[in-house]
Amino acid sequence: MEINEMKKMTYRDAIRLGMTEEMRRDDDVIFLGEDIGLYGGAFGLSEGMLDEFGEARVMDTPITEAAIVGTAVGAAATGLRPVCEMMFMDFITLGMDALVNQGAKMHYMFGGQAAVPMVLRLPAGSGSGAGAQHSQSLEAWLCHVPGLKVVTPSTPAQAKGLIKAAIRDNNPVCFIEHKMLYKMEGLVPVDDEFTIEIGKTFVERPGKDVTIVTYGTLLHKAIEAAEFLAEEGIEVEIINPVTLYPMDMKPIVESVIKTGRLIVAHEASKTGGVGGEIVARVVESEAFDYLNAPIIRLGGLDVPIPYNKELEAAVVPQRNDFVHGVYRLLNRE
Amino acid sequence: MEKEVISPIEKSSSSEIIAEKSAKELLPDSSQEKAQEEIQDEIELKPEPDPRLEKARATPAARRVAREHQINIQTIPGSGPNGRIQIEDVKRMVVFSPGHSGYSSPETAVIGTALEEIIGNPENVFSDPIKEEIKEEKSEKRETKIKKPVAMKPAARNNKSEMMPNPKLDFVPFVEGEVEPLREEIIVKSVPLSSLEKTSFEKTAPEKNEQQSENKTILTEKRKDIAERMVRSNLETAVITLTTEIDMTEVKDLRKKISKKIESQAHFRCTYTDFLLMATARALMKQPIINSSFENDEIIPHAYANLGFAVDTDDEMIIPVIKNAQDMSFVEMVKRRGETLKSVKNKYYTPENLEGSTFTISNLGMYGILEFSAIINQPNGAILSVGEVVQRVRVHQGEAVIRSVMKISLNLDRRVADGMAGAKFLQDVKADMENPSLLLF
Repeated sequence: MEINEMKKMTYRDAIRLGMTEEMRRDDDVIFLGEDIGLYGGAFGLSEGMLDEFGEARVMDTPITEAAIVGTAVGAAATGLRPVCEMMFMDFITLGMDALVNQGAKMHYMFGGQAAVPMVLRLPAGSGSGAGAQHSQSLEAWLCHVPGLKVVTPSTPAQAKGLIKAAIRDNNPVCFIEHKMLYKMEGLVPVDDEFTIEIGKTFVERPGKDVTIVTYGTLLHKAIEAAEFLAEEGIEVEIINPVTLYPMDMKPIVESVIKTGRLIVAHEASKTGGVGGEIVARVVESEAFDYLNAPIIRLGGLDVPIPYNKELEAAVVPQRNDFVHGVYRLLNRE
Repeated sequence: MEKEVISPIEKSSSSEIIAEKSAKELLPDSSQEKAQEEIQDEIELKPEPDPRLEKARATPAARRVAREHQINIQTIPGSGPNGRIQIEDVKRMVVFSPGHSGYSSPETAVIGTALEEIIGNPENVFSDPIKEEIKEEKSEKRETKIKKPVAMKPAARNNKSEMMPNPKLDFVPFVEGEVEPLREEIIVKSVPLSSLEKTSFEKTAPEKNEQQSENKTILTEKRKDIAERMVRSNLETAVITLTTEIDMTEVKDLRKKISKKIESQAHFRCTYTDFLLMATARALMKQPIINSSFENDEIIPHAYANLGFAVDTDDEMIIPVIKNAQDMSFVEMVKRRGETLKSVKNKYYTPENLEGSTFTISNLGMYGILEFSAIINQPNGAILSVGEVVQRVRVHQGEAVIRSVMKISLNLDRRVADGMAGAKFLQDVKADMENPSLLLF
């Protein structure tokens, strides 16, 4: 394999670069959303895209998410490859009918004759003090609907690789991007054919004592915790599923067989979260016989996210929760 | 209505049925109530057995290994939370169940390093994680594999799990983690070392490569150096020993209350030693003569307390120094003591970490020593020997109650200070330790 040339850029720029490259490559790719054109996106993500691709391909829409998703599903079914942006993931509720009852079903109900190659970009997560209606992580809802793919990148490189793979995928793909990661910097391959396979789980850090499965911002908190624990000789293996549906369980199962101890963490509320599904799948797998401690789920509290920053931090798992979780699994508490 | 009820009875030829039915009709309420009461009584007498009883609490991994090696999981004592049986507990049984150990005394034994040695036994295929994998893959070749002595890497192992008891030998584990003992009390009985030696040590001894013998010469030189220093100290100093008993009950209670909070701030657990270091540093400031060096016929009292505390490592005793302890808050002390201990255990320390002590504390309490008398670490003028925290009946507020007590002894160079200063120093330490909340400020 050739060594890819890398460039340092932010998560936000990596998503823009991925979209821009795909729009240059394929004229069928269009981009629609609220304030993405002239204003450059609520988070400045699509700055300059209007100038390059024009109003026909970068479309400012009215403030109606139902129309955005509905338009995208229709456009996708009739040959385009739309990427649409919700200003906040929380507003997906308004587009749910078009997404769940039309977009996710068409390929199946029309006997495979229709495809819906659309991407839904969903800025999710808490940490910005934006309040309960702008801070949710609703990935579990989307994972529950067969026909949708759900991906969530945690680094700039993953962001670029996944947005490109999502645009090239012939299914509706929900691309969940964490708002607090937008400014995170990292090395990103410059190669415009670089994609990340959807449905592939990554081992972010190898270890032998405890397995942590997590994604989004918590990945970085878990890595911090792992570095802290490494000083005490505890080796934590961190696994990032990246694709939440369809999830590649093999590396997770293998890791649990190796360590016998598992922590699953996400920012979304614990009840009904993706973490419960991961745990259930681990217990159903051959890894069950290798579990040497109860599994720990770290999740957001079952409350609307407060806007007060202190409270906001208190309701989602933090670095110390990982540290104490690991201690608990190793009987140190 | 009546006809419908009566007609089947008329058809029946059995007189018994008629008798029963009529009896029921005659005494419907009272008899039914009685029957119900009896049933209720029975339920009360025989409650549903608790489904948790008689079931071993074991992790799936522990059950798998027990199954593979045909071990009855009920017989294994668990080392996990609330006695949960974990994979490590089962693996330990796998090694020792053939009965190689000659030790069968019902006596409880408290073992120090010997316990580690036994678990590091090369026949213990599970003691080394790499060995374990080999064993599972090539079980036929096990006999030839296991006879090779394995180089012991104590640092690489998880000390905590290695220190857990082997039920067959009936050891009592007595060190929590790798730091100071935090247990309530340990009954110390005879240690049959002879029988233990047969189990493992002799087998590891014969084969030695060159590296090991080199190590050996280095070690003896170190020991020589230590020996010379010890003898010199003993010859040159005029030692008097002062002993006092400290009521540790308050410290114990306080430690329980604050330990979480302190741990969250200092990232280390607070131990009795931290309280003692704090109390010592403060007492030294009040009695600076105890905190002096004796060099070239000069007594030099110090305005700062650099506390050395003896740490037992694998091959030698090291005395790292906590500098300027007099200015530290409790949290700082916990942190410094934890970091220092960590660096010593991981051999990160530099010579500067070992220099400049003005006073030394030696603690053998974790080995069940009640009181002892350490040799002065020259040029210090004194050394504090710390014994075990034990529960004893003591008169407290006019009543005989069980209190946790600890004996400390001050070995003082009589050339540096007289007994009165030493006594005042111990008095100060005792006062602080018995009112430990003052140490937090």
